[in-house]
Amino acid sequence: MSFATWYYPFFIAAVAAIFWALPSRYRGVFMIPAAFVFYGYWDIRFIALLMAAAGVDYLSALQMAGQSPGRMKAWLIALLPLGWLCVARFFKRFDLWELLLVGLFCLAFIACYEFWSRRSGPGRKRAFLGLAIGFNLVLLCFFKYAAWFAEGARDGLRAIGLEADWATLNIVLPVGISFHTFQSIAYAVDVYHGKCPAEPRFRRILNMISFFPQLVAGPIERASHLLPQLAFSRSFDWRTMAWGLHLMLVGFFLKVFVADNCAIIANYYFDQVQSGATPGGGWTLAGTLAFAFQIYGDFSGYSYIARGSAMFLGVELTRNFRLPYFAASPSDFWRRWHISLSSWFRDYVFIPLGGSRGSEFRTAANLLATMLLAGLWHGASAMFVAWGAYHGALQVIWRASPWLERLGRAETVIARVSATTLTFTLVCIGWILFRAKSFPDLLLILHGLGVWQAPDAPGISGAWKWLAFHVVPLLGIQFAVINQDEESDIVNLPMALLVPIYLIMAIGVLSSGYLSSQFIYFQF
Amino acid sequence: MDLDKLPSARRVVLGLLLALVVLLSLEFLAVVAYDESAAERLSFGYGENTGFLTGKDSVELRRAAGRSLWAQKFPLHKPDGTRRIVVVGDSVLRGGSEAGSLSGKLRERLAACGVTAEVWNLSSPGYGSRRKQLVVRKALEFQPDLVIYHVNYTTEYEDEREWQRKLSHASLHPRLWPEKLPLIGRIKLSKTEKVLWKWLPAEVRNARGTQEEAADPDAEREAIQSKQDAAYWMPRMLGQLQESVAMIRHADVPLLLLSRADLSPDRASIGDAGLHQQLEQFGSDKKIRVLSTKEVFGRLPAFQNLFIDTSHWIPAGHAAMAVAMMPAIADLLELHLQSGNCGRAMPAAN
Repeated sequence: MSFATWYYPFFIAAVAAIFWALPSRYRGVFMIPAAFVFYGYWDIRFIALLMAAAGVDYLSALQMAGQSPGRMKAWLIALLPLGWLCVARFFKRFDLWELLLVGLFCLAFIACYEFWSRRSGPGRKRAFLGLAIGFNLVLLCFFKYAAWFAEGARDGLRAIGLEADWATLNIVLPVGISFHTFQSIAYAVDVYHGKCPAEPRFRRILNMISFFPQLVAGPIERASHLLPQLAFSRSFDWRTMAWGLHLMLVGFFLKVFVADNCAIIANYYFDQVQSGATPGGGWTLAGTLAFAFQIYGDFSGYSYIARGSAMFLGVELTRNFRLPYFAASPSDFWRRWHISLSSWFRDYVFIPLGGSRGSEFRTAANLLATMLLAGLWHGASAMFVAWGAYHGALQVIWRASPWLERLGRAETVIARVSATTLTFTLVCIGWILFRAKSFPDLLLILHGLGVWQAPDAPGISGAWKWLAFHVVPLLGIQFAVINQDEESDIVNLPMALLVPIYLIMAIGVLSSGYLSSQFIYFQF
Repeated sequence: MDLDKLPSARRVVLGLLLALVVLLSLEFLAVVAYDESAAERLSFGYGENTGFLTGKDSVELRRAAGRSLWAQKFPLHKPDGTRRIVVVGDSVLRGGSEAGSLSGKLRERLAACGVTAEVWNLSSPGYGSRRKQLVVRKALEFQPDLVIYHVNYTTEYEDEREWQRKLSHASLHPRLWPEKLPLIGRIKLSKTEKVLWKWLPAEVRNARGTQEEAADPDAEREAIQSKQDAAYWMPRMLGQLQESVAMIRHADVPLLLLSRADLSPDRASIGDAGLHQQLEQFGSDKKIRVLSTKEVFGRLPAFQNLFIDTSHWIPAGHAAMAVAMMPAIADLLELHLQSGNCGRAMPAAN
């Protein structure tokens, strides 16, 4: 189920009403079917994936903490995904090999689990960490990258004259898999390092993995922050409801008014490029800017709605954006953009690689490797890898250039505006890499820069007006809170400004007719 | 943020409540300021009574809900000795003002000939044969003595698009609830018609991936069928026209059909894509006359100057057409005029 559908407000209202009506000890139990309805709306099969991730995390974490749930319970939990698929087959037709594959996954986990649980000593803890990370990565890589690698193998074989049609895999990507597997990995690592206690209740881990407001596109929460809140022991508070509504209004404004309307321009331009046309430099500029605001509105809008929805259930999720287009340097941008992912890569990749503790060369290598992986996280595409490399290179250049470093930290208005403009321009160039489907498309975009508007392209002035109509209100709000953190900080503005902003947002949302039910980040 | 110490929670509640009160007040004001209901507004010109405000003694014509009529007021019952003529058409016959349109010019011309007549301008921009038929049906309730019907196929596309919009908005689906609100609904429609359609060409609007739930009917229709495709739209229009003609003749009201013509893009010639020929089938009825814009204007020197663009006329163009219509009107209404033009020549097209 997507947030941007007419039925989601009804769904969250119904869930919240039942949730608060229940005694607190039953709320956690209730949240599991609620999450399954939310996630199973796309595909009932993939609920097994949530069970698998939760089972792997729960059992591995307990073993790392030196506890054991008992063999029978462990086996039952490990076989839960298989059981779910058997039930799901009554409701949805799918191939038997899928059942077989899940069965093999469960058996492989049980075998590894049994093998390592018989061992003792420090190696055992590390082994279960490896087991948790390994099985989560297997799930992620299978669904996200197997088809890509198979395609690469097929092309490679074809280059040497061998046909390999068997290498064409038709794997459906489960929504949000990159988010919940990273959350699972973070939990296992935190338990290993003792930053977070192993959760003794399986239901609580399943709640954490399947908490539906942040299930499909984050924010990627840390267990130490989310798990204690999933006791759902809070009592009803009208203030959290009001904040939830406030966050959801901001989120829907960003998604429905800004992103979906900018998408019309961005989609047109990049579709033209994909079909081999070159609408010209003017359209490149408009299309790129439109995509920059589309992806920001889409993803930050999602994050706001997620936080608002969670707030309705008395849970606070972390902030994911802090006005990223006002960043003064590439590294500043990454401290403001998709914060839960960038901090995940910082804590679980960059720092373990050595961070910035070594030589400049080593730091640059660590930065590049981290950003390459961050690019790859977005999907199995060379363009995402190139986008990650581009951002890694920008950060390395900034670190190597004292002048740029100083500019990023300058306090004067001129320096600040220059640094922000430069960073925004570079980020937008990065968005071309991100949105273009292939390197030939990229070459076509560069080729089209020679003229402002191709003779057969439609007039561009309307596109600019459309873009301004939907972006200027957002920029107005952002300028109003420029010295704060995010759009939702409008609440600190005088009431004479706050009420008209609420009004503009509500009218903007309700009068926007071109609603896309999908979010860009669902595909990651 | 600590949920136990939520900052500014009171401000959020107050702000949201105030915004809600303002929004509800604006919605209430919209109810007071605009007469038509949401159902009428969302009929996109297909409402039976839209634009007609029938009182005890009079009928008022007004701009409302997809029907942009000039404000006019007439007695409900035709006064003795007064001829009642209704002009049904699209933006061409609607004109830039009521006085400067064909109806105004005809009234002047008839008055100059000593004929007391009401001429109702029932033309609305973008109206094709389907919506014109609804207007004709309504007009026949007021016992007209003559119907002047402007025939055209280039607006059929808009008729079809608006019909699709009417169908999609007839639903009570929750997705459409905001559109049924007096103010939000208007803003949404205005944004679609005055901003989206005006600023972005259909090929941009119709880009893949933008219309998942609420499709843009204009872009969809445009993708299916070009607006100017005569071979597609002409037969549809003629089918509807035959029904309208039968309805008018059934009411025993004479009819003057006027075929539309447009300037070529280089403004050198005037053409009607064979429309006038198609109307000759109606000429066998003694109470039907068929007039061709192409022939009327084509006879005039510098006819290009009568056009604002390639299809709409300046007031002098409306006046020229009124003059050209007089013999046919006199014949149909059995008026005994001294001469067809009542002693005045057709205005020069300079």
